[in-house]
Amino acid sequence: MTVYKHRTGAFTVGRRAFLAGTGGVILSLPFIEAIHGIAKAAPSQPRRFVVWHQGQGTQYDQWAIPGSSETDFRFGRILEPLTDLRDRFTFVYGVDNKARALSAGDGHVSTASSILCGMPNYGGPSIDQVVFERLRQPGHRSPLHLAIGRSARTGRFLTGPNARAESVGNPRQVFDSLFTSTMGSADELARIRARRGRALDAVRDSFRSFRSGLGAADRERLDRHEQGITEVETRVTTSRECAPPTLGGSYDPLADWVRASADMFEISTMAFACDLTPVITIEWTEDHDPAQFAAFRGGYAGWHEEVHAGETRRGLTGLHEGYRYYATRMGEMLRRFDAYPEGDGTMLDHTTVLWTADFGYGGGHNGKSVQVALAGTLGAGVPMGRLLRFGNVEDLWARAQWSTNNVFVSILQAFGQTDTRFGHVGAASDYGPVLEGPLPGLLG
Amino acid sequence: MTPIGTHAGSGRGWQSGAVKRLAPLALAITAFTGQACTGGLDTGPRGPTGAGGRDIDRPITCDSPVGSSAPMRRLTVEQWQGSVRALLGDTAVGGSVVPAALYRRGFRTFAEANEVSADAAYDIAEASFAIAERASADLPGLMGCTPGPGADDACASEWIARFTREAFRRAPSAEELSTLRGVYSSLVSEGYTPREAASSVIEATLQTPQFLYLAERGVSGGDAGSVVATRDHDIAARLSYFLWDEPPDDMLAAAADAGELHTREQIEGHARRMAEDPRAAAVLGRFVEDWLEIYRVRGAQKDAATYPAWTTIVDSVEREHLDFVEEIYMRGDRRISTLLGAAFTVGDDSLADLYDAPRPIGGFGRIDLEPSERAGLLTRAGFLASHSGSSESAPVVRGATILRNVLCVDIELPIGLMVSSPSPDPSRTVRERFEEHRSDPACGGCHEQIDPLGFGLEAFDAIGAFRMTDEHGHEIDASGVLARTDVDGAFVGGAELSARLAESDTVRDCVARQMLQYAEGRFLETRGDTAEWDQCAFEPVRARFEESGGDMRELLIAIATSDAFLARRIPQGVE
Repeated sequence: MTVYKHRTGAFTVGRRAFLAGTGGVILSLPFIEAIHGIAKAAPSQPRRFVVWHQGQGTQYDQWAIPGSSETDFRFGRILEPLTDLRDRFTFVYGVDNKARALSAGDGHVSTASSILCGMPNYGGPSIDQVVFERLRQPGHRSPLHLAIGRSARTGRFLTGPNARAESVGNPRQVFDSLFTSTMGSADELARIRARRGRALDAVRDSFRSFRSGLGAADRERLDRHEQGITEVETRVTTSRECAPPTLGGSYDPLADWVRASADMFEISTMAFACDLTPVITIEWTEDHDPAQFAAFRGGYAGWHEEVHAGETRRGLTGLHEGYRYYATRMGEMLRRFDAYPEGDGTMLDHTTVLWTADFGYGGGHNGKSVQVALAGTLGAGVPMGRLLRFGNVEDLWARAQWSTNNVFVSILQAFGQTDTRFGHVGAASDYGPVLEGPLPGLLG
Repeated sequence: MTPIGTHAGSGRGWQSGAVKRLAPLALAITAFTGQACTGGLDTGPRGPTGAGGRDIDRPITCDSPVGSSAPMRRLTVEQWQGSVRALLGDTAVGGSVVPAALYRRGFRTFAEANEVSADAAYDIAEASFAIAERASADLPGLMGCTPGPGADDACASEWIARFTREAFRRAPSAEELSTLRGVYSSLVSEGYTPREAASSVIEATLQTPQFLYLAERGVSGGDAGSVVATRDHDIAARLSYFLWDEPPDDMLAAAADAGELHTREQIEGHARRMAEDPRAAAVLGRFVEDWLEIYRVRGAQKDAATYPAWTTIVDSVEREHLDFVEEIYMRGDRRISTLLGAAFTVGDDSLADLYDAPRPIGGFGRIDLEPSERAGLLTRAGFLASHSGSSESAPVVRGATILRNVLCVDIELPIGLMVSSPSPDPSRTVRERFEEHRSDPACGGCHEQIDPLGFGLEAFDAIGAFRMTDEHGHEIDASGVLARTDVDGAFVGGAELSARLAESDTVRDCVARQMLQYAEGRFLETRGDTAEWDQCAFEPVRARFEESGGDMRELLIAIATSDAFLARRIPQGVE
C-alpha cells in the first residue's frame, strides 16, 4: 500500500472491491471515509439541501388554496400532481424578496440578482452556498448546480459576491464530470493522481506570478479562478468507488425536458447517496428565450403573454398548465428521493428542498409575495403539511413584514445553525425594512 | 468644457519615455447622443445595458491618448483551440474543449462571460490532462531531442523554456520557468518517466493564467487612470487574437521580440497583412453571430409538425452567415451595407429550397435571392429563426433585437412596471393584439419603436421561410415603420427594412461600437466618470469606419491601430 500526502489531506489507496456492474473500472470520485459514515448531522436535522428554481412565478389561485387553519389547505390545479406528497410540504405566503427593491435592472435582472442571496446586485453568496459551507466535510465537492435547459450563469446562484455559479444543462456532461471512469489498476491510478497533484501545485504557483500589474477587478476574478483550483485538487487527487447512476439513453436535453430532468434527478439521487456533496441546485434556465423554449405549453409566445397577463386575468388555464408542468417534475424528483431507503427512512426524510420561482404572480414581475415552498424535512420535530400566511398574496402592492431573508435564516437554523440574519438587513426602499430573525413559526 | 485624457497626478506613466512615441489625437467631438426608449413608469437604478445609455450630454474634448481599459479575459473556445493547435498540433487537441462562454447579451469575448468557476476549472484541468497525455506520446517529436533519464536534463530543460515561451506568448520570467522545470525534475526524481514528467509540464502550463488569459500590461507603472504604452508582446497577442483568434505567428512574434511593434505604423503594417487573411473573415463571422444573436439558432426548438424540414436544414442555417460573411469579406466589397443589403447568400441546396431560390451550381455556393423578399443578414433564416418561437414568429423580439443590437438603442423593461401583454387569441393577428399595449403609455414608449419594426418581418415564419399567411391563416401585413432613427419612415417587408438600415449612419456607427466592444471584451461605459474615456476611444474608430464607407476590413484596422491597442489605462487597485 502506498500513501501519498497532498494538500487535501492524506489518503490511502489500496485494492477495493469493485461495485457490481462497473466492470473493473474505478470511478474518479472524491474520497471520504465511508459513504454514510461522516457528514452525518444530528439525527433531528436535515443533512442535505436542494434548491429548485424556475422562472416566472406562479398563480396562487390554483396553487395551495388556504382553508380554515394552517393545516387545512388543498391543492389547486397547479399542485394537483403533488397530492400524494401534500404532507411533505410547507407553503409560505406573503413574504417579499425585499432586496430586489434595491437591485438594479429590469424585473428579471433585479430579481435574479437578489432572489436567492437576499442582497441587491448579486451581492452575496446564495443560500445554497451558505448551507454548503456549513455542511461541507473533507472530500465533499462543491454544490452540484444543474440546469434544465441550456447551461447558464443567471446569477441566482452565487458562490460569493458577484461570483455566479454555472448551472450545467447537459446531464451527460454532469455525469462525466462526476462519474468519469478511468481504466487502470488502483496503483496506476494512484500514480496518475499524485502526478496531477504536482501539476496543480505548479498551476497554483503560476497564479501568484501572474497577479502583478493587474487591477483590483481583474485580481478578484483571478482569485475566484484560483479558488476553483482547490476544488479541482479535491476532485483530481482523491478517489473512491461509488455506483454511477443509469441515464435515460440518447436524446436532446434541450428539447426533451422531461427526460433531461429525470436524468438530473437520477444524478442528484446518486450524488447524494455517494455523499459527493450535501447541496444540489436545480434551475430551469429557459423561461425567457423564444428560440430555446422547448415544446412546452405549445410554444413561447402564448406562455410569455400569459405570464404577463396572469395577474389581471386569473382564469388562464394555459398558465395553470404551464406551472403544473413544473409541479409534475417536482413530484418526480421528490418521489425519486423518497424511493431511496436511507437509515430508518428515505433520502427525502433527510433532505430540505426549497422551491422558488422569481415572482409571485408573474404579471407583477416584482418581489411581492414571491413563491416559497419547502419540502422534505425541516428537522425531525418540525411538522410539515402546513400553509403559513404572513400576508395576502392576492394584494400585489401590500408591504410585507417578512422577507425571503427570514426564510433563509430559518433554513440555516433548521440545519442546526445559530444565524439570526441573512444577507441584507435594514431599509429596502418602498418594500419596508428587512428584519432580523427567522420567519416566525416556520420551524414550529 | 472639461478636456479629458488628462490624468490623475502628473501623468507619470504617460510621460515615461516609452509612451512619447504615441501622438495624441486631438479631437473635439459631440458625445454620442443616441436615445433610449422610455417606459412610462418610475425611474430607478439602471443596470448595465448592451449598447445604449446616453448620459453624456455635453461636448467632450479628446486631446490625449485614451488607452484601453480592457479587462483580463480568458481565451474563447476558438482562441483556446487555436492556441493549443499552434503549440501542440491538431492531434493533441483531439476532441478536447474548454467551457464555452456563457452569455445572452454581448459577445463571446467578454471577460464576464468567460469567468472560470470551479466546474470550469475542472473541465479545463481534464482537457489539459487529456491533451498532455496525447502530446507527450512521442517525446522526441515533442521536444526535438531525446531526454535522458536524469532529473536535470538539458534537452528537457530547453524544451520547457521554448514551450512556455510559446504558451505564454512572451519570455517566461525566471520564477515561472523554475516552477515548470520544477514539475519535471521533481517527478523524474521520484521515479516518473520523462514522458510522464513532460506530460505534467504540459498539463500544468495549459492551466496557467499566463496561457489562459489575455491581460495587457503597461511598459511601466503609473497612477490609476494614467495611460502608458502597452508592451510589444501584449500588443502582438492582442492583435493576433483579435484578428485571427490565434496566437501571434512567427512574423508578429519576431516583431515583438525585436521591439518593433508599438507605433501606429508598425502595428498597421501587421494588421493590414493579417486582415487580408481568411482567418480575419472567420473572426468577423463569429462577431456577426454574436452581434445578431444568431447563436440562438443552435439548439433552437422548432415544432416538428409545423416545420418538418427543420432538422434537415438546421446545419445549413447554422453556418450560412459564416459563409456569407466570408464571401463578402474575401471576395466582395466588405461593406456593412452589403452585409445588410445583399440579395444573395452562400449555401447548399437545402438552403436554396428554404428560400425558394435556384439551387447553387455544384450543390454549394452563391444563391441568388428574390430581391423584393430578402436583403442581407436580417432576412436570413439564421436571424429569423433565432428570434422566433417554436411554431410562431416573435415580432417583438425581432424588433427589439434590431433596435438594441443594430441601432444601439437602449431598451430595458421599466422598473416596477406591472407588465401586461395581450392574451393569446387565434382569431386576431399578433399585430392586432399588440395594438392594445401600445395604446398604454407605460408600454408605448418602447413598443412604438419595437413593434412596427418587428412587424415588418412578419412575412417570415419561425424558421425564416417566406409566407403570405400566418399560422392561424390570417393574411400577412408586413408593413412597418422605422421611428426615431436617421432613416425613419414607413416600409413594407424585410428587404425594404434592410435597404433602409444598410444606408443608415446610425447603424454604421453602431456596428463600429459593437466591434470595439467585441475587441475590448466588455461593454463600453455610457454612464459615470469613465464614460468619456470610452467615448474618446470610440470616436476615431467611428470616424475611420465612416471615412472608409463602412468597409469592415478598415474597421478592424481602425480598432487594431487605435489607442486601445497601443496604450493601456492603469486600472484601479494595482498592487
